[in-house]
Amino acid sequence: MCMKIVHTSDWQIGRTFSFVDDEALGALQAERLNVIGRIGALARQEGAPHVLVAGDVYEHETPSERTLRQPMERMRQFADITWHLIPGNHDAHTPQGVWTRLLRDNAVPDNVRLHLSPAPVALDAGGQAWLLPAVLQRRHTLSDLTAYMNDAPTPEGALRIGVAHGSVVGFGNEDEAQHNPIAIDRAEQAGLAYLALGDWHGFRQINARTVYAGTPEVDRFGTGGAGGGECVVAAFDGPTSPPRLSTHRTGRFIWRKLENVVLTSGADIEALESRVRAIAPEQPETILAWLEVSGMLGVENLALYESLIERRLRSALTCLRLSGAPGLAAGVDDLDMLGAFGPVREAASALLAQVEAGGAEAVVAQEALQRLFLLWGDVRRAQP
Amino acid sequence: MILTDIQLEAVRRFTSPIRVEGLGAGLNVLAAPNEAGKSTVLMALRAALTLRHGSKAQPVRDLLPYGGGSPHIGVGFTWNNQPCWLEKKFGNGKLARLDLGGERFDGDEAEEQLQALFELEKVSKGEAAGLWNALLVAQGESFAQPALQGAGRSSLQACLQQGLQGVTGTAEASAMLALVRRQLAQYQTAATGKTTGRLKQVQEESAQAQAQVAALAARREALREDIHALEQIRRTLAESENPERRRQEEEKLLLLRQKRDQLRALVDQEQLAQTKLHAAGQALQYAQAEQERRHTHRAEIARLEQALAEGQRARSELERLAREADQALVQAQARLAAATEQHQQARAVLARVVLHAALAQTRQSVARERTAFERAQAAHAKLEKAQASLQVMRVDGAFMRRLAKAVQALQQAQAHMHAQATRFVAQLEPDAAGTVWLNGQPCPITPQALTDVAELVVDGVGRFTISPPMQQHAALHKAHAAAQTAVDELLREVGCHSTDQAESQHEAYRQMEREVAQAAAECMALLSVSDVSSIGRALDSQRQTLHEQEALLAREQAALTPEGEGLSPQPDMDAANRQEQERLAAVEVARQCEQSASDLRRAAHTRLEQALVQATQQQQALQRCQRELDVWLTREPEPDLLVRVAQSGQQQQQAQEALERIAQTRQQEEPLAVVEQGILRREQGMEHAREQVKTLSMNLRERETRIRQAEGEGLDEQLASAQRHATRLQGEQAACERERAALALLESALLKAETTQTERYLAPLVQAMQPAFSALFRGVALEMDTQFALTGLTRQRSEEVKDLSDGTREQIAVLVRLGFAELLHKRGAPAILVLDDALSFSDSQRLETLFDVLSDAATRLQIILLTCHAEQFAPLRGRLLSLHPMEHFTPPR
Repeated sequence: MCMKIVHTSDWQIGRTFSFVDDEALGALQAERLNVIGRIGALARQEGAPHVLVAGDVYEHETPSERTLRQPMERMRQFADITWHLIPGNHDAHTPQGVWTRLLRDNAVPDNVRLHLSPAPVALDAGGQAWLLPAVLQRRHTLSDLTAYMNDAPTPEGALRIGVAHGSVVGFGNEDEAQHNPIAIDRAEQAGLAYLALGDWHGFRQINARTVYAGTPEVDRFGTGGAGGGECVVAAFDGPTSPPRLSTHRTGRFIWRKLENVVLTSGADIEALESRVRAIAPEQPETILAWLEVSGMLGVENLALYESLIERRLRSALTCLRLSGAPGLAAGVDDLDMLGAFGPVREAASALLAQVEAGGAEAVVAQEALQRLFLLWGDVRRAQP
Repeated sequence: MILTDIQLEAVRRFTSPIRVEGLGAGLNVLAAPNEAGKSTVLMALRAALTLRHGSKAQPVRDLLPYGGGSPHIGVGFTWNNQPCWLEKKFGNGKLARLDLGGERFDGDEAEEQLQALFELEKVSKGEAAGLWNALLVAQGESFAQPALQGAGRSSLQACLQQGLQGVTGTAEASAMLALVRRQLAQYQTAATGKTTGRLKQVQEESAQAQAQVAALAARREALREDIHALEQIRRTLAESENPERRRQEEEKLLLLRQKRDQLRALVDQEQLAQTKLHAAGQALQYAQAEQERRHTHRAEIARLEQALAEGQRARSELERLAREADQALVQAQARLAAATEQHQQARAVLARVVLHAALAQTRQSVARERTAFERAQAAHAKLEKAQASLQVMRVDGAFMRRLAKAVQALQQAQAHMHAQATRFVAQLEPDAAGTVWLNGQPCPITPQALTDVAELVVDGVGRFTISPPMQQHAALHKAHAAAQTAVDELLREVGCHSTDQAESQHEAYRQMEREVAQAAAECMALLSVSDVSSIGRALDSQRQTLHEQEALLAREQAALTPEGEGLSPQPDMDAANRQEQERLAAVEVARQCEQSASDLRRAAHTRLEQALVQATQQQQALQRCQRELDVWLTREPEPDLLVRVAQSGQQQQQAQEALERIAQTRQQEEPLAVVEQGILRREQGMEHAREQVKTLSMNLRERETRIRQAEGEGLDEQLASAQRHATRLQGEQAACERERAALALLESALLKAETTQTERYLAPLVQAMQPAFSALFRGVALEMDTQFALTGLTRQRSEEVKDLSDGTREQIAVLVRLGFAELLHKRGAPAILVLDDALSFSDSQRLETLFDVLSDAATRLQIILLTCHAEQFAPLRGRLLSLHPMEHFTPPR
């Protein structure tokens, strides 16, 4: 016996991102649908007849009609693949929830199976492989919904695969683990060949048989685990042998957060740009970068920063999110460029004194000073 | 810079082309009357410099000619010793051209070159401004110092900066300030600092977005509530429609109904038992009452029999007493009859005595009547006699009235004669008495009226005849004689000789009348009549009555005195009375005795009758009781009654026992009311459940509809999108506000620095202007502010410009403008000064001095004065300009 499945989760169709512009938002949202096609293609490529989606297919409890149906229509295109969906904490099987709507409106394709009750389901006609879904009926539960798997009957010698959405107890953030807990040794307790988990957005293997596949298209800068943007292919040689696991990249966008970027010179600025572009040198448009920038720059370098990072790099990426900014390291020497005398220099001196005095006003004075230098450049350039 | 040519066409009043002729270096004076077009020339010059040729704004519309057309202006000037030409046409065929020496610029390029050359700055889409605005001084503007902003200020600063060491960067500062203000204007208004532009828009959008988020969140909450309620309703509906539960309910209801029926049957039985108990009790009561009645009757019969026996004995005694009372009554009646007889006899005696007394009184009365009649008869005779005497007397009242009338006529005739008489008055000496005689009589000494011829004789003198006038003498005498005759005839009628006699007889007549009246009054009093004519009848009537009374008296007397009795003596009245009273008292005593005996008898007989009646009643009651008792015994003999009583008691006991059994059974069961209430409650509950199902179903459908709608709209997605939008707007708002704060701070810092800088070169500016001012105001010191406005003068004391006279302020304003022009000139920038209708308030001395100042300045720069006071400006001796019409607008070749 050899069987393969594709394990994925946390599609979160309909998710919005507040820090990107409308154009990028459209692209990101579209890609979360497009990735379904890539998953289907992966399943075909790997010869896996089943795709397990371990919860959080949808971001919202009440998505729009279009958002509700779009993933179904994408899955319908892979008629040879059976898609197994369970509710997650974002799309729990609540009254009037997404699953009720789909069933009520007859929107579920034949090749998509919704598992809305916790009971073993045969994956094949011969009854050799069984799926044991855990079903979240509200956003948060305090009980382990996989517990029933211990005693869930399946034919002797059958392959038992569990699928659940929640937090493995004793792993990761304990606060999160308080909700929708899953025993870390559930696979062992319940005799599962594999426990396909969702909720963690990056790939994470808990043990030989317990795995978080992560989201197939990355949706945040901090994913936890290793990256995200992947799917897991699990191959089973027998009902008891541990699965052979392989991860496959499905995501298009690369989300990267660069923390503690300190800029003190023009070289630092150029290095930063290179570093960001190096994330995807061929396809910078697939990059979403979050830079936590600090440091002090001279007047010229500040202009360089504006030019290279805030204008050029921002245009190259899908999203450039900046936290902080380099300060203006303007000294008396820098003021000389404004001339030895004159009202502009005097105004700059006054602002610099405010900056050096510190306090809340200093921040405004710093910005005013930066603008003064920028405008000075503009004025000088405009002069014949 | 020297203006050499100005041409206008289709500008306001100049519809045809004109040219200003005579322009040249130094002082130029265009003296022309009002309405000649001087101001239009200045306006056109300004427009050529500051208005863009493509503009359609108000300043351009102000140029339009009255008859229509496109304003066309040409200005020729020399600059750096090169001839230059500026030409602009506004409206149709718009045109801008600037020839600078050999270079030609057209359109926008010409505008830009022009602005650069004259240091102008764009202030709006169609207009530029600079220091030149202060040098082309229109009518009325010369009174105020120019307000410098933007390019004007920059130009001036540039001028000042050039000559002063250590003063640099003001142009950059101004440029930066302009840029900062332009950027700041995106966030706040220049004047009030109120938010505007993008910041305001973002603030509003942010508020709207927040409101949208709140609204959506509220809808989301409503949706949650709907979903929750929907589940609740579904559960309730499922519970309500659960067939098992309904079956159980119906079974419970059926059981309760059965129990109710059993309890109702028990109640019926109880009622039946109670009825039986009641009936048995009634029967027993009736039987016992029958027994009681019989017993009572028997006792009554015994009592009546005893009473009848006692009544018999009492009756015998009463009969004896009645007989004795009868006898006593008979005796009393006999005594009363005897007393009554004696009393009647006494009364007869008394009656006779009384009759005698009455007769005596009648007799006295008749005698009085007779006396009165006789007196009346005598009075009547007296009256008749007086009446007869009166009848024969003739001098009555009527005669006397006729006589008086005749006497009066006689007296009148005498009076008339007397009036016609001659008055004779004699006054005689005392010793003449007895010697003078009138008509034979001693001459009276009183005045005399002589009606007839009189004769006066004086003894010893002679005889005098006095004749009164004789005209009416005869008529008067005749009238007098007639009157006398009438009197005499009347007297004769009654047989009198004189009136005195007549009056005497009349008095006798009246006396007789009084006597007749007195006699008549007496008769009327005696006969009691009110009328004299009735006296005779009354007397006859009284006579008749008297006769009748006397006849009656005779008859009574005859009747009272039968023959032979007239001699028996009559007892007196008192004795007869006393006897009669005594007998009457005896009768009264006898009657009281008889009454008493009668009362005793009546009482005895009454008691006897009562005893008889009572005996009769008792006998009847006895018979009735006996009869009833016999009837009862016949109907139901005594043993039967006893049996009935026993049976009724037994039945009552049985009914009581049955009732107790039922009550005991009911105590063990639930009360009927409770069971019925339970049934009702369950029935209502089932009905309520049915209603609830209906209501809930409707509610379910409503909520489902709402949920479907919210689902379709993708409320969560909308909310997420709205939150994202709101967050972005908040971020943008914060960024805008940061930007605004930074720009505001920068503006403030630049302005402050610039002001400080300006203050530094104000002193040189003042110094540059000082000579001109000193010429006009000896020993003056100037004060300027950083806006390049002269604010004060110090001569002997400090004076604020605003407090000076209009004329002085105008002179100062002109000098300031001249100073600006000089500064521009000194810096090598094009500069002229044009004044329209200025200095007209200056006195001649000041004007002279001003002319000197202007003449001096005109050696360095061109000055053009436009005025309508040609004579006033004649001393200036400048070039005289004139306006000349042209056939065509002629740009230089």
